[in-house]
Amino acid sequence: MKNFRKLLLLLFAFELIYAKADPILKTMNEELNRYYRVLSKAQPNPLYFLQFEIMDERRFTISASLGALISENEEHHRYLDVDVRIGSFRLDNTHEIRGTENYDWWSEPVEVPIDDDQKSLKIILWAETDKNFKSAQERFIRIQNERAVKVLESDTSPDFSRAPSEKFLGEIKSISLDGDLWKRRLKNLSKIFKDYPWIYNSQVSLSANSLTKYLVNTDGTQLRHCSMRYTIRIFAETMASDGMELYLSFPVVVTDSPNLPDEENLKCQIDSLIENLDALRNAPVVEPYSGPAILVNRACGVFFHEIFGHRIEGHRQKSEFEGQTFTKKLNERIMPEFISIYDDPTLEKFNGKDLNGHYLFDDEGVRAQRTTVVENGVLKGFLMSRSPIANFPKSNGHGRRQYGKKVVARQGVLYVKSNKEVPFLELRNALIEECRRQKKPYGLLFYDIAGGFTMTGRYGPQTFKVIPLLVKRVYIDGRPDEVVRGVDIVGTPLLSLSKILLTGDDYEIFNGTCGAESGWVPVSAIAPSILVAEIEVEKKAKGQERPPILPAPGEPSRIH
Amino acid sequence: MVMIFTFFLIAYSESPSGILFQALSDELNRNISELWLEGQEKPYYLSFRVLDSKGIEIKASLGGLLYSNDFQDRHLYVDLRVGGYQLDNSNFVCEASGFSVIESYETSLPIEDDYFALRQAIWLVTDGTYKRALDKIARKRAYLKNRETTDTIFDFCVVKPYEIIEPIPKLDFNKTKLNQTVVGISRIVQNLPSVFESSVILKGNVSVQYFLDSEGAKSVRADKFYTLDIQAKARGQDGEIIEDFIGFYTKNGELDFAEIEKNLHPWAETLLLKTKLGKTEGYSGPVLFLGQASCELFFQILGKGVSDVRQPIFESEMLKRNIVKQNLGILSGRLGKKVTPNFISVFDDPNMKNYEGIPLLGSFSVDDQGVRAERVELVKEGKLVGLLMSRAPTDKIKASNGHARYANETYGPRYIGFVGNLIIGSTKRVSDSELFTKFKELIRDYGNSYGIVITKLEPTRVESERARYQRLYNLPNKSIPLLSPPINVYKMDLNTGALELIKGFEFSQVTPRILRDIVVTGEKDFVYNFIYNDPYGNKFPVSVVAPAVLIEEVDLIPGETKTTRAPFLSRP
Repeated sequence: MKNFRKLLLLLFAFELIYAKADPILKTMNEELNRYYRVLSKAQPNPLYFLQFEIMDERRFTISASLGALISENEEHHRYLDVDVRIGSFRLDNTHEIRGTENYDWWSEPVEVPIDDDQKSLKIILWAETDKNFKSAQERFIRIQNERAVKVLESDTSPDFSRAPSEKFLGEIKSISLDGDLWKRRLKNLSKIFKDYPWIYNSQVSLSANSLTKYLVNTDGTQLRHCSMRYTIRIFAETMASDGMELYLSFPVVVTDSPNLPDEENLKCQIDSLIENLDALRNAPVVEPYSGPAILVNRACGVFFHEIFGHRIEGHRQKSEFEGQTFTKKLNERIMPEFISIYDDPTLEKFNGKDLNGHYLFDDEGVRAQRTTVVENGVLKGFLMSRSPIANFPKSNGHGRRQYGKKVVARQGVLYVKSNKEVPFLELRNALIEECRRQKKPYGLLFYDIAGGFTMTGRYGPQTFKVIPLLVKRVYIDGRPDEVVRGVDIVGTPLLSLSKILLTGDDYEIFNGTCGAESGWVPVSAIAPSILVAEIEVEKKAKGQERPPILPAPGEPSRIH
Repeated sequence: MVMIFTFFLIAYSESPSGILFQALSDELNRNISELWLEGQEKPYYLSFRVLDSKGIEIKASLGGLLYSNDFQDRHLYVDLRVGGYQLDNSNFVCEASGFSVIESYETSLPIEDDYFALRQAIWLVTDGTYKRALDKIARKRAYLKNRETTDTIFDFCVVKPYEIIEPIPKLDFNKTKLNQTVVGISRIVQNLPSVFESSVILKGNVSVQYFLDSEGAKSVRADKFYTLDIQAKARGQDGEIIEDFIGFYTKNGELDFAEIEKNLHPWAETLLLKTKLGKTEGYSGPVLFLGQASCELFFQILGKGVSDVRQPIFESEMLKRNIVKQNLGILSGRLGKKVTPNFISVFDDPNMKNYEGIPLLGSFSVDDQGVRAERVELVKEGKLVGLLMSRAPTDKIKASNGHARYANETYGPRYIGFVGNLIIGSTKRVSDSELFTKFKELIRDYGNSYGIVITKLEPTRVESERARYQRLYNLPNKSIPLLSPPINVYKMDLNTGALELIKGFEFSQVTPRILRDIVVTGEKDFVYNFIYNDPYGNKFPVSVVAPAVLIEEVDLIPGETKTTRAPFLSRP
């Protein structure tokens, strides 16, 4: 009894520390408990889970073009998401209603005060909880009716899973940046493009973001954690003489401003980007091709994110609308045995470089966990939010969202690991060998991929399209590599993954932002270069416009 | 060689706007003389319009500060025409023939006055606009060729080039103080017990329009605006959601917060009263429109009716489906005909800066096509005699009168003639007491025991882009009612003359005829400054000056009510 009292006292003291340490968490928690006490007794469908999440976002962006500042913005907003669940863990108001869209694309984030005014925060929390509770009641009745008139779903897993209570009070970080210094730097860097009149659009931009998340829920979870992101993006765009629009972009993402590259380093990146863009605009257009190819590390990361990562997100295995490419393939070989894949948002850095997809807790209050999805080529698991699926009753901390959206399972840091690694040069030789074996005059080398999209829906073909930015032909007769343009990679995931022959040892990071049902979330992918026996490319859609009629305006030296 | 020489001669002006003008002017001259694609025609007209806007936006809700952000934006709009004044690429709606890396019509410009960076942006957007113009005129000619058309109305009219350079006002404010003020106003709304949602948005900005065209027009129009929009949603006792708006706007002045607070309290009290009211029955009979309601009545029926009078040709009927019918230009066919009783006369004069000492929000000296703003007689002794014109002529009015506004629509931008300062005059004015006496007479004649007094019609709302899209998407028949629902309505007892607040009405089957049923007008004029937020997100500052009007017969029906059940929890 004494020990129990001690524990209670300790818990009480802990609550007090929290309350003192953060007034926002205190208000959120007090209101959460107040509403839960009442709404958990509401009839006929009481509340069984309630969560408040507030995201405080500060953003500072500057961009320059041709030596001039083109925009400068500083913003600070706070957004609230209220998640209400009525019914039971087995069946609640979030259950999919077949025949209707499960995601509200129109949803608008709710703003809360940035000035720590607790009174108005309370009123907004109250109004949002009331509104969401009422619409949850309405939806739950529809769900109950639907179940009476339709056949049983193929996956009858519960709608929500339990999760341990978590407490974490992270440090609040603020943007630390010498704005004037960076304005000067960006202007100087953007000036380099002045000497290249054939580059129509160019921009060098810097954005600094701080995102502090406050989360409380009726599991007793109370969290405050903060992430920082500084992004530099160099972008240049031109048009080939046949009207094909071409662009290259170079992003750098770091979590601490001192880690941003210096001016000299960025100058080198710009020079190399200009060189590649020049080669690209004069490059021949590739005809549709199917044959061996190497996806160079970063490009490979994007490739895996698009064609594989999205298909192992838990909710896609459950939804009756989804193609469910991998749902029934658990413990089956889906790719060569030398490949293993896991998603580990707890990774902060890789080879000393910051990972954009890192986080401590997901948006359902679950601690981020390393999740093995493929082990030696065999499918072992899925990325899970708190929405269970057959054989996976628990979350592994991948429930993520952008403010204003509903949580679904998303990727964090996708790590493609190989145990059949060779140095890049050997991989290149293997590509030539494979071309010879297939009697192809050349193979393709994909250096950079802009992104892509994948169709996971059941009512469309299960295909993907990846948009390469820089592609080279590697000839078997020893001719130098040749930059080519005008192709997109297309294919079906199962076939493409089975054709991986060998990988490099040159692991690299792709840091980016991924958009899906639950909005935009930061992600990373780590991968080595891979050699694929067969990749299919098709002609890229191309603009029909001519290049500009008049020469670019500018200094006399620019008039050619 | 000539080109190089030209570049060496560039003299940078000391003033910031000088560099922008220089860049605009050099690109304008270069493009109008050299921009030409072999086998195609050259542009016959080119204008550059730059909107340079800098300011602050603060939003508070229920007593808390949601954000307080500075903004700066510089945008270039290009009007490039091929063909000739008689037939050019304008006044024709077709779907864009593909997208390009090179944007057309408009682009953002560097916020810094950097000559070369500015020219690069101007060059690219002009090139894209030229190519679009060539495509569009080819499609327009093909369309016209296929149809028997007797349409000989010119597409563009000639105007006398106008030059004016207005001084740029300064925006001076203390951000912390403004934040506190906005939060303070929000707190007044927060204190209303039945309010569950509210917002107070204050915007202060200096907006400068630089205009230059190939006919020699050159102007700088500069204004300082402060807008304060307040919105609140409350739950009535019967569960009905009651929404109300109030706005305060100034041009080239400061907001008078003491005055705002004075107006805010009665507004809040009325909102509170409305939450306690029950349902209303329908009504037919005389209606008295007072203050804002009278101004909105004239604006929505007459003002909008004489705006945007040149309708474009649509390449296909399908395209019309996505157009929102917002009742623009509905009176254009009545030119020379009766639209109001003889005692009403109306004019629009953007040059009027004040009306009886009150600054007018809709004033401007030069319009968005660089044309000098003119006073336009619209209604003379009841007859429609004029329309609000851009440079797109109609069969009856062939010249611009400087009322063009840039309007972005579903299929790209257009310049439409629109209201500036709409001034309603009357020669049949009576004192307030006489007005009520006449009102009572009409009620008695009609056989009613009470009459209806309307003091406020729903104005267009300030909303987020997403909310606007959602509303547009759900708009029934893609059309806006001719007259928005009344939100402040009183029942006046015939015997006692007592006024009782009621709620939940909308107009039934209103036609422009409603203006012809005006019996008499009040003595005093009401000055109504507001921002018209159109369904496409365009915002037009407008002023309407009108007396109270008594209308012989109006049909009102109970409006569709949105209800919500009582909150499960008490308000904190």
